[in-house]
Amino acid sequence: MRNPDVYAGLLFIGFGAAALVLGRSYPIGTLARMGPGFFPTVLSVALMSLGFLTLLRPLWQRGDKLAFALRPFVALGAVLVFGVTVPHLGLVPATILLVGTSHLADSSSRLRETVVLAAGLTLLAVGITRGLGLPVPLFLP
Amino acid sequence: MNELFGNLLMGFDVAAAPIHFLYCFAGVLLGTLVGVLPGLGAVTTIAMLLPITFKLPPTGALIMLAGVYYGAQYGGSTTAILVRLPGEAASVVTTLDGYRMAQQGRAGVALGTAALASFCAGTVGIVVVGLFAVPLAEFGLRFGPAEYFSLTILGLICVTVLGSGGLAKSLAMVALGLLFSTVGTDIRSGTTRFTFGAPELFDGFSFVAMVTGLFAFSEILLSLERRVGHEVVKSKIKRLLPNLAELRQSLGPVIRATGLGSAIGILPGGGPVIASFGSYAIEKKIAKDPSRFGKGAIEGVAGPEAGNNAAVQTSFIPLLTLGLPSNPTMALMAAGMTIHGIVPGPQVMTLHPELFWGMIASMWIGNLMLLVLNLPLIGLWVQVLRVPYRLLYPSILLICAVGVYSVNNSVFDVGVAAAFGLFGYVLTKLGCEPAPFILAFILGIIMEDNFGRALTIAHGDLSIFVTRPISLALLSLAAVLVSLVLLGSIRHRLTSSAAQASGGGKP
Repeated sequence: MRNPDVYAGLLFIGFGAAALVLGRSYPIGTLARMGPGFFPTVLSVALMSLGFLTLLRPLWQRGDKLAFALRPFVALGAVLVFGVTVPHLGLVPATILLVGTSHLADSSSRLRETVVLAAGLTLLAVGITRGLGLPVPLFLP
Repeated sequence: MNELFGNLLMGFDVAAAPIHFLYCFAGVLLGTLVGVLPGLGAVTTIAMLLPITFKLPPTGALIMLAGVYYGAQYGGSTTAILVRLPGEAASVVTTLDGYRMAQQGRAGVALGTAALASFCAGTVGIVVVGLFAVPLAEFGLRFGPAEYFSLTILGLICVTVLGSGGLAKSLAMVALGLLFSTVGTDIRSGTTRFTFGAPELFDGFSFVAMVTGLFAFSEILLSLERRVGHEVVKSKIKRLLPNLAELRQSLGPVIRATGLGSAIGILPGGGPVIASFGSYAIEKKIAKDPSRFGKGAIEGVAGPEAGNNAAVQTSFIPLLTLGLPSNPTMALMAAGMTIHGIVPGPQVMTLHPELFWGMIASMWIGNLMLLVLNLPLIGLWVQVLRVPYRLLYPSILLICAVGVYSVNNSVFDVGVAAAFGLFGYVLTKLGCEPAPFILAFILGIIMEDNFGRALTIAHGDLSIFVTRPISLALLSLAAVLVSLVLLGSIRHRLTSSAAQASGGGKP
């Protein structure tokens, strides 16, 4: 049962339920004096109801099948690598690591190109941050 | 009318100042570049530029951001015609006949027609903005919390019904976006909601991180997955300007599409996209020989291009007059205004007239720049298009990562962006639209705040939303839109099941 609507519906119900559970301590208050819990609770219920409706959708609508690849997710990994290393190693190493990691996300990447790209993008990154006065350290011990 | 003239004159005075001229130029150039590149769009670029605009003067910053927006539409048409890849969603329709024209050796004419049509439509759109500005803003000044709440409801309903993917899913996206907007410190009570004790979340999610992830990173994931190569049309581009016969053919479509686009752009929702699709459908319907469409009919380029540019210009109206962002880009513009201490709403016109009219005037100057510059620069854009994607996406990843990180020097924000990249990817895979989500996220706080205030004034009486006339009108409009969609989908289901039943006996 690979219909995407099923997963979408489950996603919505999941978020709604999570919000209900996590927000159960926020006081709801009254209509005249709404508490912080009012809006989230109403929204969670609405979200879960819409989630159920979405689950039922496959009954009258044929959806497309789901398929996905794993390799592209390395690109996200590259971003995370950057984020984690900038405060510890500085902008230049972080940029190189990002480019290097993102190389793995596409099977058609060529090593020589990646090296040149890394150099070029490092210059670009330095240019952007320096040019705009953004306080990002280049190298850190 | 006299007042409008005076205001526009002041606006042009502001817009023609060398520094604003420069910002406009930078914006439209960057916008075209971004529109040409796959995987990087106006929304993401503006999101990345937001932290930079901290340092820039407000008028200049907003002029530049606006330039990126409508510049991207020009760039998007260029890729659509030359490569059959829509650089922006609104250029999808242009790929149909535009690319065919390019294959027939008429790429130049297609590009020239697109540029001319966009310019004419943009000019009209800007005039509409000027005309609507004062009356709408005055109308908006009479809004109280109940009206603002109903306006946000209408805005969100518009985005959901004008999108695709089914009403339930789009509404769920809205609910989800609203829910995400509650993360952070509640203004009314001071309690922190859904922050898990993380101080980075006390102000809610970083909008730049969210938009970057949702639009740029997810797009990269999807593109890497598809790995579709693109073929740039090889024939040399000869004449750029349409001849007299082609101009005559384009005139009708441009006029019709301008009207359609101007009207649609004002409504919150997918303005330029709907305008371009709508124009194509209309032109095909009323054409003497509809079979020409899809084979290189110039009307299929002129109309949609005019439509989307008109819609782009008029989509500024709800934001500049009422403070209501009608699409994610406008939401970012709203953020840009807020950064400079300018609260979006009907009072912007009276408090900051030079900003308001300066922006409107510069939009026209920007359109003119695009017309004059882009045609000679076509060669440059073609070269840009030849850059293979494996070199592009690391660049996009880097620029985005640097941008997101530098807003708050925050590793957390980078993580948020990555997470939303995954989220956006999942949503697209599941057939859900990110636009309603983002718009709901922006409007969430306004919505909740006004809902609460209206009810406090009414001592908890919900009927305030329907007893006040403007609020009632807005809510009724929203209800009408929803019922139209429901009726439409019910009818669609009935006719398709009838077709299935009657066609079942065929061999």
